[in-house]
Amino acid sequence: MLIDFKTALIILYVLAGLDVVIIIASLLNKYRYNKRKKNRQTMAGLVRRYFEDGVFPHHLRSNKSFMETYIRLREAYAVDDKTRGLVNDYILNRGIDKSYGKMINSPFKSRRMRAAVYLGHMETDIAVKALQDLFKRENKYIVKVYAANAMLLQSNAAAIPALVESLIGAPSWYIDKVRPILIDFGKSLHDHVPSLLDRDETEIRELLIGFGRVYIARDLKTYLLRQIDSENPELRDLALKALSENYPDEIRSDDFPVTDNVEILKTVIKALSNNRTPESVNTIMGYLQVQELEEHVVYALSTMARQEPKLLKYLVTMFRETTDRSVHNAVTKVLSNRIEYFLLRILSEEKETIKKLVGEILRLGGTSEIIGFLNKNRNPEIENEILDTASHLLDGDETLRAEFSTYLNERILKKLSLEKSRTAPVKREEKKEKDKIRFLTIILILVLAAFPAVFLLRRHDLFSALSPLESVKLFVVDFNYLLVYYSAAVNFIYIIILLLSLMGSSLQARLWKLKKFSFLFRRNILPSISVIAPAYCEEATIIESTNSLLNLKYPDYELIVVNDGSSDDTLNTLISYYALEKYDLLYDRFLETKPIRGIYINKNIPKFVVVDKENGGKADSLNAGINISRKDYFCGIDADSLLEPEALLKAASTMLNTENETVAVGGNIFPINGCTVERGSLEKIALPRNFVALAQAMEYIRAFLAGRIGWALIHSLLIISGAFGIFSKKRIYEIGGYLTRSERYHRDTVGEDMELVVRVSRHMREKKLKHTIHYAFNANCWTEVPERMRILHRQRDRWHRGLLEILSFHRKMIFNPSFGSTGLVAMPYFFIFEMVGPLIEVQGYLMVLAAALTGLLNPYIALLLFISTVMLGILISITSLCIAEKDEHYFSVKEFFILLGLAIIENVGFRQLVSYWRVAGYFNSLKKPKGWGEMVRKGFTQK
Amino acid sequence: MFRGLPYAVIFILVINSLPRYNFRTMNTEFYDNIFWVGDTEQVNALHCNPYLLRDGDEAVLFDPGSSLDFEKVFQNVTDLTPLEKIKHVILSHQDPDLCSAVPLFEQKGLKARIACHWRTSVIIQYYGITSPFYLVDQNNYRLELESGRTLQFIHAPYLHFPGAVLTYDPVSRILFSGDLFGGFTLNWGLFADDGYEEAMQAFHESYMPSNDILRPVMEYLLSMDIGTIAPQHGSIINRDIRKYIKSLRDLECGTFLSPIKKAITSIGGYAGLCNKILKRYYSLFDPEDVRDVFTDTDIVLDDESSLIKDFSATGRELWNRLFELVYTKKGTSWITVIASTVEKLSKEYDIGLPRIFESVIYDIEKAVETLSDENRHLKDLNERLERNLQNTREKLIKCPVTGLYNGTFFRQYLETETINSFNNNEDFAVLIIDLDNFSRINFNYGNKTGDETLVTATYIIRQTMAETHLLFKLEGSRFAYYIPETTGKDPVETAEKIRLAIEGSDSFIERTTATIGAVSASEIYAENLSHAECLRKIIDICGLRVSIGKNRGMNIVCHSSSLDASREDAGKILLVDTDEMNLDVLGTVLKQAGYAVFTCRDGLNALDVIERQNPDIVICELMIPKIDGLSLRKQMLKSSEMKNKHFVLLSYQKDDLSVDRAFENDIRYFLQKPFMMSELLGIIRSFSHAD
Repeated sequence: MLIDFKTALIILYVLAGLDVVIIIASLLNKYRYNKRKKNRQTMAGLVRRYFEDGVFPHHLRSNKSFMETYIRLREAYAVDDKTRGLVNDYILNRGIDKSYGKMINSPFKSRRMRAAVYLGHMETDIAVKALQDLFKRENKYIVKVYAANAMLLQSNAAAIPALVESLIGAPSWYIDKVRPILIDFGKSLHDHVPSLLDRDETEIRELLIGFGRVYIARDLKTYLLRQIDSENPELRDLALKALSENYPDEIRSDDFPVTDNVEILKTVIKALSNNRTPESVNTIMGYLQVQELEEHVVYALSTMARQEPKLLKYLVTMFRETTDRSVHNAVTKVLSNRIEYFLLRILSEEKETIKKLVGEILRLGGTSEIIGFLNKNRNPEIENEILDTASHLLDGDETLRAEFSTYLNERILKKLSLEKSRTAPVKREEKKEKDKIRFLTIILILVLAAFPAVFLLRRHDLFSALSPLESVKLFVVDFNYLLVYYSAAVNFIYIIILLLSLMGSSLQARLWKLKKFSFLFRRNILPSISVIAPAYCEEATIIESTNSLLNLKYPDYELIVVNDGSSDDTLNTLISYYALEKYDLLYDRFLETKPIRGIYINKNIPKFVVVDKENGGKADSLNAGINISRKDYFCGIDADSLLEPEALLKAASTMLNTENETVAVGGNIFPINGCTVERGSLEKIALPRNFVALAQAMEYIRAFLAGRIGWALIHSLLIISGAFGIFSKKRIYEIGGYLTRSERYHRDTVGEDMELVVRVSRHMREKKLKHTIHYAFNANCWTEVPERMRILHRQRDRWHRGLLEILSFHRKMIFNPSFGSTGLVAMPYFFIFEMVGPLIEVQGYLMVLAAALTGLLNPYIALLLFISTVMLGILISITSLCIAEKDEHYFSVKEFFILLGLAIIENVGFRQLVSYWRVAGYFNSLKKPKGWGEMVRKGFTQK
Repeated sequence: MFRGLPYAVIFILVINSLPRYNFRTMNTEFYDNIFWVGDTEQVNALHCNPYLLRDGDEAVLFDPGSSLDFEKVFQNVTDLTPLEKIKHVILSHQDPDLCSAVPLFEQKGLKARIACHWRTSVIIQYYGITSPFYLVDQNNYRLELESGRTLQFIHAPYLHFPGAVLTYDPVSRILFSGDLFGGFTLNWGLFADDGYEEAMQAFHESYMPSNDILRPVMEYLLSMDIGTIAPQHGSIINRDIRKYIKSLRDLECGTFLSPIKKAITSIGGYAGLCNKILKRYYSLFDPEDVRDVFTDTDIVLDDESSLIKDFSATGRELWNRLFELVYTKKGTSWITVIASTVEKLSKEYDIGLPRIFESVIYDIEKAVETLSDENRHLKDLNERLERNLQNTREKLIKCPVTGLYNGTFFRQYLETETINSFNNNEDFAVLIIDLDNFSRINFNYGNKTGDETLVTATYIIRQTMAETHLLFKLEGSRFAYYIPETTGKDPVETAEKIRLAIEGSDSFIERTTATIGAVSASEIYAENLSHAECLRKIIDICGLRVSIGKNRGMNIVCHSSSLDASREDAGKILLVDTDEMNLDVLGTVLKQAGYAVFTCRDGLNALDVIERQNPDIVICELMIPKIDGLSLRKQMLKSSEMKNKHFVLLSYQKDDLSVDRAFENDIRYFLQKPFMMSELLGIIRSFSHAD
């Protein structure tokens, strides 16, 4: 026996006392939060007074609050020179610059970052010099980015040489961020240009070309022209782009070198298209001889015809008269961009030409616009003329028939004697995976056999003395002790993670305060992101969530909603609400997916794309979305979830916390049940009314807020919820996207979100690339959770089956030192406590029950069990709640106490139920595969 | 030469002279207290179906029939109900085959109200009907019986009469459909059988003007819960209702028919075509009779299918031969009954009419000259009606470019059309739509493109147009748009819809906009003018409002004449941002500068405040919840009231894409945060100077 009864009692009291202390601390924190809120209001008041009186108030309590107010002011408004002078005098007098200047020597990265941000707003000599020193001495590139931005704020031209030199040999993400900062120096950088013109390093040349694109100067023009002959194709293309934007005449001129380089010719075509005359049209047509250029010729001519409609007549004549096949095709494509103009002319005397044009367009596959027109049109004469043309083509053209049958409305189809095609959702058959089942069976046998085996070994000497019944009794008692040890171990690990989370979240909160909007919205500071929301039968909530996703605060993002062959009206709901039109978008198929049926856009919402594809599951839809996305990162979102407006910004900004390449970022998930939503915007946060959902609220707080950030801190985060996670597109391409039947591994999983993280970190480790997986503790995504036990059971069953699939698929990583902390900490944790654990736990509960029924359960064991399972559980739940409420303010005091109550009672009953479900999930994994199971949506609560 | 009323007259006459069949009497109550009261003896191809509905102490008579079968119908009706209980007679349209019995009923002592559309009422007075009218169009298209049972009317304009109505009884779910769903049935039965669909199509091909007009009504019927269709000709349809409605919805018919040309081989050559005609004959006549035509001829029919199996003639010759045989054996009636179908098929497969048609028509026209006295009476009546229509038609002058009726017609139309509304003080509205860049287009691209633009505008307006509205072409680049029976904001909403459709269309040679003046009659009624003065004033004011709109910068809907309506509220500013400090600070600064300031924290709320408070200037952050800044601006542009408000965009996010979109949405000021307060204040001051 480890401890005696008395010690156990003392531990019990200590734990209870700890709970009370934590609750009191948390309440105090809540009170302080309100005070801080008041502080912020005073800050606004001070800024307001500045505009009223014209003088910035000096008499502030502390240097820190003075600086914070001043920065807040400068964040929103440009401050005039006079005020800046006065403030600088004050800073000098009070020695504020000096005290922050000292901070640059701090061993902590975050403090040096803070020094950079604050010093950037001071223009005293001390501050300027301190920043320069920081930049020179600093060896962390991420801090250098902050310092560079600060020096730009100071307009410190003297810093330019150091900034320029820092580019050389730096990682590309650093160069991409600092180059725009340098370019924003404008005239000061130009003064420095002469000394750079003869430099040979790629970084410098890239900088000058980039500068030439936004800054007009003779020497830069000459420099750009010189770069056209560059041996480096990337630099050459950049230079050409800059030239065609700023100096198109140079490219059009006869002096421009004759070349057969396709990339150069593309730029020449673009420059020529600025001159909108028939002669120019002819010249551009000449380039059709080079096949790769066709697309560019068509694009250039289309732009010309749109800006100068008079050219249409010329192009129509060309269409009629040309005998050159390639010219004919190109003109057809150009004219097809004005198809709506021509279709109305089909009854005029140009009828024959236009009918021919329509025929050609259909033949070349440009059906979307014509189908769209026919479905809307109310004039039967025009309709008949178009159908007349189309009917001739239908016989020989299967694709055209299929397009028509799918998208034309029934009445018109009948005229063409076609049938409306209805695609029935395909039933997926999930195959049993033999190796997975073998693995799971072995583990199961081992777990079940392990304890009896140990028992036999340890107690074999006693067997002779005991009757069989007594041996069984001994076994039961021993097992009860095992449960005590097991629970204590699990909860001990939780507590460690919890402490790590506490550290991680306060660090993140501090860093977030340093990231000012003007900095985050600067070019290239944050990566561009494609938000991808797969939707399967989300008719009820799709508009709400799309609206929320279209109104995110983020510098550069697009939204891609993927309709996964829904059997309900999801697609049509989107089309009619956002007035979408079918669009022939070109995209690369890096990842294999189920066929895409159509892409829809609204020209007025350029950042919004809807993809309609055949049903293939969530992972397949995400892969399809990734193919279509045009940004560097993508963010997978559940279509039934709401993102807070700043969630994406907060999540992506964690990439500015570390040096390494970020491959993935996860965000918080909260249950939305109970909250009020209007037009995709969260109006009021409230706890769910339903008990099942309420219990999950506590669970989510524990798992997300208080758990994952700790894992992330020790580079072992392996779960990023499918409801909200950002990934590097480049890396995901390398590993073949989400696991689907269509992709390279030819298998499905029901835990595709976790599997992707495991695989990407495995990939990075195998390639020995430094990388980070972040977790943003303040980026919130609100999602609907099951309100009925049956549905919740199914969800948990699915989660657990997913986990088992992943552990079996990646079992090579478990306890494998070559995978670093992932192989030694994260994977073993999942293996022991998430996979094997529930098996032991449920056995343990059964033994406790057996002991209780047979009177074997003495008060001592009961007390130990109570401490190790319930008391520690309560401590963890309460601490999690307090960490959640530390920096943010989600719940009212009343709700806080409801959650506290929940934190206590969920440890008896609910947790055990979840463990039981997990065991059931284990056995289900050995049986026939089941897929996803249903999720009943009721839609968000409307105001 | 083959179309329209004269043809119909000839047709009826010919059909009437056909031999009559004897039918067994049958139970004519086909729904609880709803009876078919037609004449079983008096049967011809265009069988007339009067119906009687008993409801408590009342009875309603539907389309009572012609003078020819009056005696029998009267007998049937009075067997079922005493004459004085008939309180309403419903007339679906103006044709003699259903109206000419009414005066005879009146002579027998009928005291009922005649329920019909006003257009019907104008014409049927010529039958000598003296009973009072109940105009359904002025009674919300409803007729309430004493018991509370309400009959609903569905207006089916130009099917085949402008005032045609269908009656729907929600209790029995019966649709009394008038001419619609009628059929040519020499082989008549009270209820529709398998061949009825063909017979119905044959009838509609002859009588209905075009699919364009037929389709919308059928689409509407598809949305209703109909159990039975009781047409005025042909048979009652009591099953597969939707099949029949869809069949008519998709039917190509009428004078304006321009079918898709098909290759004759696709139907199986001339033989296939002839078989199509044969099938139609089988549905119309006794199959034995049809087969009889071909006995002992060179055209051999298959025993089983009764279709052409073998023939000595080929191609076109067979086509001609078939009708020659029919004509010699069966006479003109068999030719006329199929004429529309033949004409349609000839067009569709691009082959000429069969030879016999030319000569037969000549014969028929001659035959008309020698009609019996009994029939002459009817013919005179119809000629009178025809003259009436002809008179009006002569006055109609159409715009040669757009094919729309022109300004002269527009004014006359208003005079006749609005008199009822005027007398009842009911509202209607007129819009004048002027294309803003018409003269520019004419100048830049030539007159031909100018004309094109007018045609395109016509097309676009028609795409958005409601069924009951009418479009006219005035002089120059102006159109007039008539909205009958309006309420409140309707005309402005319609006008905005048109304005946006034109602005958003990609079908013009270049982006084109329209300025629209809108006037509601109710604005004028208060002034106690005569009808003519009132109309003149409406047109004048409408023109004036177009000019005002043009002065205000075009692409606008102007529905009030006062020039300075928007001036009163000068000095109101709306701030939209999620940054509390900015709202506070900017709000204070602007208030000090003397402006009234409103603040909003999301786009939806902002839109609401703009509508209610009518601020002059909106200062807005791009990234705001619910509706983002640019979308908010877009919403504002959709309304003529909001579109001219000054708009300043403020944001941390200012990149190529957002700047492009800002310009597209007519935003001239886009400041990047941190912004200069003095710059913003300067911009706001410059707005005040501009006003």
